[in-house]
Amino acid sequence: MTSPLLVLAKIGAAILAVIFVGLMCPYANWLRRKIRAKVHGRVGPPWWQEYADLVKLLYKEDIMPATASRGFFTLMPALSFATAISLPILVFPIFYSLSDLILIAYGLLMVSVLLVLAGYASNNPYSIVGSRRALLSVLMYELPFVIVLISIFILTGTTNIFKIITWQANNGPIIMYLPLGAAAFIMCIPIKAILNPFSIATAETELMEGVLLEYSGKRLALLEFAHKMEFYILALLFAIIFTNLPWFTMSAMASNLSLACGWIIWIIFVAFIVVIVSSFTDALTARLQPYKAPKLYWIIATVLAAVNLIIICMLRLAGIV
Amino acid sequence: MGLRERSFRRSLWIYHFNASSCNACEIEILAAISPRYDPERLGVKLVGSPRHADILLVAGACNRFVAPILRKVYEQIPEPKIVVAVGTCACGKGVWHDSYAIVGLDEVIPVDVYIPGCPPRPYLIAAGLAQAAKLLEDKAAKVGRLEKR
Repeated sequence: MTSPLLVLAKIGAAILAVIFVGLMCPYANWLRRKIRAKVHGRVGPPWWQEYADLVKLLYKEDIMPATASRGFFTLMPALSFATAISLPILVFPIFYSLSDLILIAYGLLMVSVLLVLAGYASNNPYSIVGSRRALLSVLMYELPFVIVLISIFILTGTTNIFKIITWQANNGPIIMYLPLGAAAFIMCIPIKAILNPFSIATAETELMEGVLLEYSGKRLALLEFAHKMEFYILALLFAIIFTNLPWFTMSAMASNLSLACGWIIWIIFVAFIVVIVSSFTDALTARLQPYKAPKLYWIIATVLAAVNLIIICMLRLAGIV
Repeated sequence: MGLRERSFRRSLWIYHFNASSCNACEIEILAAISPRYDPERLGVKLVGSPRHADILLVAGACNRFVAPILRKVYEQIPEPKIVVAVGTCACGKGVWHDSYAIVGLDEVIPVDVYIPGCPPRPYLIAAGLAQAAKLLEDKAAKVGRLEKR
């Protein structure tokens, strides 16, 4: 049915997406550090700083702590990296059956859970406390996050990214229907990417980097990369499932390359804005105490998401959307 | 200059260790990483774990209690690494030169850069870090040559 040329083109596009997001995610993280520096009234790091950090970590000595569980200590960073580099293929609409919200939710959860297991594998008391906190944060954001995904499913009747993009092109961006859900999604980004108001899992002042404490060299580079990737992927996911403009339908983009390029530029632009918003909250807030963060999530974010879900259900029943 | 040396030069992760210091050097170190001097533009970042660090920044004369801990922390830092001694006490033994309780930093770990002063000015600490970056680059180049052999 499908021609081998098309399959080759799709594989090429997938490789391009992975390379592009892989190169962009340290840049997004640099942007966060730069904005933080500007808020402090500093000059801030040069634009290649995050790349230099990653390259340096690749050349550092790799230490296996005596207390660590050897297999898991090696496996977790590798698995985490592998999951992270497969995420761009899922988020960008390249393969029809792979671009699915449920799969993306699992992929994003996988990166977080692997980080938790990585903390446990290093067997350091501080890492174990960090892992517990990371697990708590998974429990915190997963509820509003899944409610937002469910409201998108109820609104569009599908979990496929292709269909969601086309639905938005026909009926207007989902952020118009789910403003509170979008706010809940934005609230989930800092805790998923372990940014400042919710950086309780790798609190460098209390837990000495928590989960990442025992990792050094290449393993740390892989974990850091996965973590940076998750942040940027969340921003891209927000752009794709919430703010698609009317003229970007999948069928039009498949035939018109310049329209597809325009869509990519628009998605990157929105992701850029999301990164800037998260960076400002990161720079302007202090870390919450671990027992205060769940309250904020389970009450504010979940209520925002749930109210919007109920509104969408009622609109759907009334036959308005 | 290859990618390895360049990245080591531009990315300095510092672990700060207090080896029985009187806290004056700590205050100056914090002043050196404050917005006024902003070493982050040189790639300096304070990290919480010795496993992530490239540079061990030690202040204080190092007494007998701290010496084994300092040795342990030094061994936990992955190669290549540089030790920077901040303050007169860390460079020599300062006013504690004849104290029975003081071991002296040099006798516990090899020190690469000495920053004298009681306490040293923040710009001296920044200059010391710049020197440490150069040494770290040389060390990384040496490790690279050894690996090639």
